[in-house]
Amino acid sequence: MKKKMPLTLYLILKSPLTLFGAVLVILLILMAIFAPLIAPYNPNRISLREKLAPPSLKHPFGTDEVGRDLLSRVIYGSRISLQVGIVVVLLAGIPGILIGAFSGYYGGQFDNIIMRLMDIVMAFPPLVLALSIAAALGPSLVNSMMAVAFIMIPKFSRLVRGETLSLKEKPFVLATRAQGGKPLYIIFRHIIPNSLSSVIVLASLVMGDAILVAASLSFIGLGAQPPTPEWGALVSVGRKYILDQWWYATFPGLFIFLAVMGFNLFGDGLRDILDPKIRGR
Amino acid sequence: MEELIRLENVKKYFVKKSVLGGKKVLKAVDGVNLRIERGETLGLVGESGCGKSTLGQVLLNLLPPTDGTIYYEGKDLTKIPKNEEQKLRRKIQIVFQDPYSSLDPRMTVGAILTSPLKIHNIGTKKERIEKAKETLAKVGLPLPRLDRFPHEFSGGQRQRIGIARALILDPEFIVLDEPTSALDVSVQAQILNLIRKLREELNLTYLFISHDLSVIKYLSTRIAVMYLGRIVEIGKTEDIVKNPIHPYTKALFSSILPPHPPDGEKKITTLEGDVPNPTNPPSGCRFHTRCPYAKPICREVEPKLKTVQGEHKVACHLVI
Amino acid sequence: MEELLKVEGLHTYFHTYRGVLKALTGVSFSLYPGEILGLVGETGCGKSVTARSIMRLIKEPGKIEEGKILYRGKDLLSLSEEEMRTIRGKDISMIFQEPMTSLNPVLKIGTLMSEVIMVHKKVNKNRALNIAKKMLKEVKMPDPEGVLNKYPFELSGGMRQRVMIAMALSSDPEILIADEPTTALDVTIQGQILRLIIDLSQKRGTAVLLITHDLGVVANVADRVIVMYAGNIVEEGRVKSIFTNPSHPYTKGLLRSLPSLAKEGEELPTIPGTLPNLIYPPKGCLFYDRCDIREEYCKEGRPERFHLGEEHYVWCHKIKNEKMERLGYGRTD
Repeated sequence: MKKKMPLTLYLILKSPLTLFGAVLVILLILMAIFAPLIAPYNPNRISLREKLAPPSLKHPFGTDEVGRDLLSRVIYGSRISLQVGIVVVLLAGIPGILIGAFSGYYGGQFDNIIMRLMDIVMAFPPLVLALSIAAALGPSLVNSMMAVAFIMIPKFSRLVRGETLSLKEKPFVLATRAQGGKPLYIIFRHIIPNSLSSVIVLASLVMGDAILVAASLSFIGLGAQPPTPEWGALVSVGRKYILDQWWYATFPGLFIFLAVMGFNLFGDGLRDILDPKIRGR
Repeated sequence: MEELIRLENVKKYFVKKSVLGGKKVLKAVDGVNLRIERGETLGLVGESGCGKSTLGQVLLNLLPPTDGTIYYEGKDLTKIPKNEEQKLRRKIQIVFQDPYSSLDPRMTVGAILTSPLKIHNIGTKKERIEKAKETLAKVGLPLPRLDRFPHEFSGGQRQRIGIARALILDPEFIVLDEPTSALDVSVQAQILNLIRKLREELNLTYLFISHDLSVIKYLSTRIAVMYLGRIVEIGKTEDIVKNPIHPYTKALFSSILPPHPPDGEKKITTLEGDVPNPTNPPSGCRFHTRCPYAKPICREVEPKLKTVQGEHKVACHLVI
Repeated sequence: MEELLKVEGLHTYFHTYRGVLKALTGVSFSLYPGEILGLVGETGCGKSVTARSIMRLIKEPGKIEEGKILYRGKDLLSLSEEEMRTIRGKDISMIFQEPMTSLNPVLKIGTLMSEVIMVHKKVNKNRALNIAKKMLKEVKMPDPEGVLNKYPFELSGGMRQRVMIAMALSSDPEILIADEPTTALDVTIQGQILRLIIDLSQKRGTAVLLITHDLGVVANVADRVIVMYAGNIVEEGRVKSIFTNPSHPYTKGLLRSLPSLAKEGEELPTIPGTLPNLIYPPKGCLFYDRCDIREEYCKEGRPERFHLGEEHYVWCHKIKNEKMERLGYGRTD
């Protein structure tokens, strides 16, 4: 792997859109990690004297209805969004990968049943399904993450199943079978490691989707609850003031857009970069 | 000679269901009887789609046969209990054609070679690594460090690693499925020499599968010729080389292009026609559509393998 | 005889992230009307890159850095892409190893063929279909009429290669470049296609550049042979003299390592070592590391073309020096 990193880096640098996506993603991560250092104020500091102040040098993004600094809230919001993205990817990815690998490897009726279940989940519009799950569980950030994770599982399992179907016929898998390797061993030693590069691509795309869906849930009040500085929740409250205080909803919205675009561009680029046909050169 | 493997009427069919509900049966292997003696190299030659690779995989129990029995040292492979199967897995190994897809790109050479030992719970970690190094030296690829990945090696080196993986469990029998077809001539020669040397040093028995009769005849003690799922001729290498009888075997020999130019006019002799679709093989003798000597009987009755002389057997109506 | 195609000092490099891979460094040869010229060598020797360079089909990150490709005296490298397109497929046609990937799978053979013919011959669809049928007959396709109504996947590999040859020849090109045309085919089918190539070249007078790794194929099909190694030509000559009297140690080594010439039980002679690194190639002869007749002086400079006998050339310092010494010229280096 030591030798592969420079190649990946080289290919990222050669593709401007991927580079742009990567920069956005990295900035988002840095913002989340160093939030306390870069945020000019405590995101929850109320200052009623300054409520709904327009953008100024003191408050570059303006303030909200109780005078909290919006820039600081947006910066802290990145922590929540990133956390949502990571938790959703893990919560959807791990079961998704396992379901896909086992289903694809064993095949037959087992595979049929599992895949039809996945189809059922995928048949619903994601937002509507997430909405009903979140509503049933009760509005909270944790519940909305679980809802979003649930609807993302089929994405992972279908991808990994496809990879598994082709990998299980590969000579190196046949060789291990011929040497007495058990299915569990083959799945964990050959199938999953070899599916990981496409999983990483999907994970990046799902990160973006998850941030968006979670923000949407917060926007309609089913996710993070105020005063949590979640971007979707910020937009939701800011919506009331959109006509007179445009900055309130605009800046958090812009960050949702940038984060989602960052992950999507990065994921798309990564798909090309991890393509062995391109790497082979 | 001691019998190691016996195939009795082995068949392997693949059923393809089409979207419209139709069913197509591909008879990849259709009634093969074969004995492999301990210590010999049986060369299995035929064109693509003749079922030779499928036969190899059936023999390794990677594909369950549709019908028929496979005996290994007298034991029925298809009915063997799980714990004994695991033991047998150590004795039978396979080497594949493509040196690229036969090694897991995400595993180091060390992991590739020690994983069979791990599966069978052999030795400590240190001993396994020792064994891996030893085996690599045996295949002529001594490596001081095992932490390199397959893509860092050339095709020939990868094929050596593939052979080392097959050897690491100290097998008795190895199926070599076109082990040199993807390699350049000069590398092919190195690998063929290695395969031959290992046979002598380790007392191995081989099933050598190839489409290339010149390679088969160089390495094998006996040759079996396969056409559309059936064995059409089998015998000792010298008998087959000196006296090929089946028209298909003759055609295969005449289609070897010798590396010296013809005297006078260029001429290439070869069979006419195409290999028939194995989902719908011709009636009677499967070769009759391309056979220059076909008679009416060939269209109707399927010929059986008949002994010509000694071990030399042919399935052809024209041989009495 | 006047040459049809003359390649002069061709250098093609690939700019990879690891560095500049020098795939071809100074390839020069000529192709004469009506002959079959075999270009033979192992993986990585540059034979396919040569073919693609002639067709100007080198893709990023590859680039033709230097040299001339003269077709009837006109340098193909100086033409615009537009002008090159009219040459490609009309004057110079090419067929590939895997005919499936070169045929659009959703179009019928008739459509595929007639479209190409319409472009090159400037005729209407009906006329083009007639020419297609005639061409299929010429490549000995059984049931040409029926084949026109089939899709590529309905044909076997051999049949597809016949279609490719028919398409390539439909514009009456003067040169046919065949890149490993039989490598993906079964041995019995290989014979049919090779015979077809010989017949067509003799009947139509098409010059063929046959690229292959298979020495048996060149021996039986080609009139002249060029042996390539690591992006250079190492030996060139008439097929008879190359095979009966190979000179370059690489040619000799290749021929010796063929199992068809060995006896059972005999060890096959091999060529030790591997290809040199073409990103950082050595200064001297590229075969030096693997050569069994090498001398110290071989490390200095690339060998040049040396005339051995009638139309037989070799690129080897040692052979040249020995020959010159014998002729009384003394060492030339």
